[in-house]
Amino acid sequence: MIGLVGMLVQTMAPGVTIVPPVQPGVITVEALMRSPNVGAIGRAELTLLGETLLSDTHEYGHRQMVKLTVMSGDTVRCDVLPDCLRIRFGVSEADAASVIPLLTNILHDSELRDDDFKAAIDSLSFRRRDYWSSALEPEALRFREAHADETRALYREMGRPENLVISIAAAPNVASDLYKAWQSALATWDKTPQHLLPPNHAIPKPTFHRRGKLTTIVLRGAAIDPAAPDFATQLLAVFGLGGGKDSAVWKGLREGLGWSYRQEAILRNSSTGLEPVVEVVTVHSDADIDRSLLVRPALEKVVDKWTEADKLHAVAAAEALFSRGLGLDPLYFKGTKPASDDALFMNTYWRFKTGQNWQPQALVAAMRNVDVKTMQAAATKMLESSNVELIQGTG
Amino acid sequence: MILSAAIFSLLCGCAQQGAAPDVGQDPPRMRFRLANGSQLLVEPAAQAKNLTVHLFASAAGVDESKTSGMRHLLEHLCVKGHDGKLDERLESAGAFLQARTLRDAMDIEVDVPPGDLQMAFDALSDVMRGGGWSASDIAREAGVIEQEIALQPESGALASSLWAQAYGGNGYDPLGDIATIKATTPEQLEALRRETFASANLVLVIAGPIDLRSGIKLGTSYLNLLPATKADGAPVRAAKPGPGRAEVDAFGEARGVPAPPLSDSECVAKLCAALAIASELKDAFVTYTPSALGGMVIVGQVGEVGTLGKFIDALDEGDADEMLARARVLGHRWAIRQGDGVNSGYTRGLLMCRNPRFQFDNVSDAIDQISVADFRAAILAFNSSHAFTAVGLP
Repeated sequence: MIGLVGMLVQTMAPGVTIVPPVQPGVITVEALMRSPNVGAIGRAELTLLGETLLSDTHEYGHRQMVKLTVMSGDTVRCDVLPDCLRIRFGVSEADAASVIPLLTNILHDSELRDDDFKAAIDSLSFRRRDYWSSALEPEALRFREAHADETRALYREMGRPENLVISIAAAPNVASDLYKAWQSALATWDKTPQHLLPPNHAIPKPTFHRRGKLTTIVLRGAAIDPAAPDFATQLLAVFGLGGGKDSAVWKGLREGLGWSYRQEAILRNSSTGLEPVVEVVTVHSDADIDRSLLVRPALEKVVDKWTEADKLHAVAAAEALFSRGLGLDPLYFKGTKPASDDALFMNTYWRFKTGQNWQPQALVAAMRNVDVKTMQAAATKMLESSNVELIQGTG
Repeated sequence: MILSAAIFSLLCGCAQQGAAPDVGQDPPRMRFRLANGSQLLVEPAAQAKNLTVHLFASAAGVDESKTSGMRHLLEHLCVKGHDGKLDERLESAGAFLQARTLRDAMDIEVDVPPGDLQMAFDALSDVMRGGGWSASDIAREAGVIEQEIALQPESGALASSLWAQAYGGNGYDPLGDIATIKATTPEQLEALRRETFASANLVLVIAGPIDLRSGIKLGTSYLNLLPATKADGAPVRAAKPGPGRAEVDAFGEARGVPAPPLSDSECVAKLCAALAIASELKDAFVTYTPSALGGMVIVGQVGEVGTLGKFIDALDEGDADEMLARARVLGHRWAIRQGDGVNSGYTRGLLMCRNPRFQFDNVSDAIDQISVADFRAAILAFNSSHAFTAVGLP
């Protein structure tokens, strides 16, 4: 019995971990494919890859994939995150034999046909993103300059075993079969390194305007390392900046300046770490530029006045979130918010990003030992290091 | 059995100020109406991490055609508490307040650590006490609401259009009309506060790690502090016949079908049909707020126009028959999500606002009993020849 339990949380070389099921009777797969640090065209190709990955594979058509997974409540999906492609699906235990074939088809045997690329380019070129995500990723990607061959090479490179971090949430009685199936599938893979074009590090041209009446102001700080020893301090500072209605963004921007309804401080994943970001959304007005210049001083003013009570509030907000699922989650992973509600994702992502387990309780414990001056210094550094980005609504 | 008898005698003791209590046993939860007209639902959930307390204030009797958005304004102002620091106090104690204004009711939700029920009651008293707002308080908050309205997601704009097409003045978006909000006077707001928080309009829900007996005792003591009032008759929300179509300032497409109360099998079939349709399309959404009145089941897609409509209009009886099994599974999953765990108090309390005897657990039976003919009719209801359509081009 002990051996069986021990086997449940184990890493299957390379990169696959089996964990207990997240819902009874369902096997859930969370797979992350590490993306290289790419430039303007590469971002477009990555987005294109995410759009076409689930079109058809050697063994499964798109409709088949949907039918196999829809009843689980986790219909197969692929999200393009700034540092990886995220694939998630669930399969009923009765279809356990399909889990590894479906996974390996997605990771290694997607068809990526020219027709699919063409359709995806047409669709992506006209897609309107919501104000929140378009502010976080303001680049206007030029999909028509993406190369089909290079996108396929990117796919093969990202699908190499060393670039994969996978969790499978499954009952003990199927774990062993999953393990064997994964090993045999892996043995047949072509693991030849791909020759990608040299990365084009030109910064994608940002969009400075957005159709519609909403203006967004973003303060984007230098990325921090989630594996660093002082990560708890950094996270506490983010809670202080944006965690709830006693936070700096609430007091300084909504209650203080009174011109925004939605304002948050978050940590957004990027290829270099986790970026502290303050995002403010406001209705477009002639005052947009002036307002963008007011955000940082308004927040610095609040941070300067932080006391022990503010620190305790930030710790309480973190504790409420991580222990009891309450409140705003500052960890932002695109469509995965609130991330802390999804332990399977967080465990997989943290392993991917830091090589360590996601241990929110340890973070909260460490936060309690941070003094208010240190928390203030971390928040001030985030604000001082940040660039102001303004995307104006056209009215 | 012994527990039930003991609880019943406890109830009789609690409610002896007036008429016999309106009691409903719906194990493991219990609901009843007190003599002052308010209602209480207690739902023990030992495994829950928080004690969740909802105060629903029914919108029965409010004529939204003249006051659209005033309830929303009231919600914004009253949740600040008497000194504007209610959130600060709660959050520093690891508690959290959320509020929403819905078509059927206003919901004030306070989540507190287990054992801190009194903290939630104190917060709700502070919310209901409110008042004393000045014209400048209203003007300032109207500015924030104007921002909130501008931020409405595209799915919300599509849904709002469908409600307006089907229900006209009875389907106003609860976000409200900004001109009405800005023109609200302190006197009007105070009158609305008194009307909204009249005891007969209130449903208190206590859900989480608390035993039934304590929850009933404490909840009853709290509600009994309120003076008795009479409930307004619930208005009938009648939909116009479809089809209909409107263009919206949003990028996407949605179909909406008016539905009778959730207790009706037709509503359940339409909801399951919408879930099955959405499962076939990438990033499609389904919107349905559980209601004991007439409601609206919506299926839509944001960022894309044409795909959803073409897909629905091509569905025939054979497709409907093939989708039925999946629709039932998805319907059950929806019912579990709404009726169990943290959402249970929200769903049941909201339904109790408009129908104290609503049995949410009957929804599962209704899903099992959807006939082939009913489901075909439900799928057909989303066809452009019957449904309301909202479309917005990029």
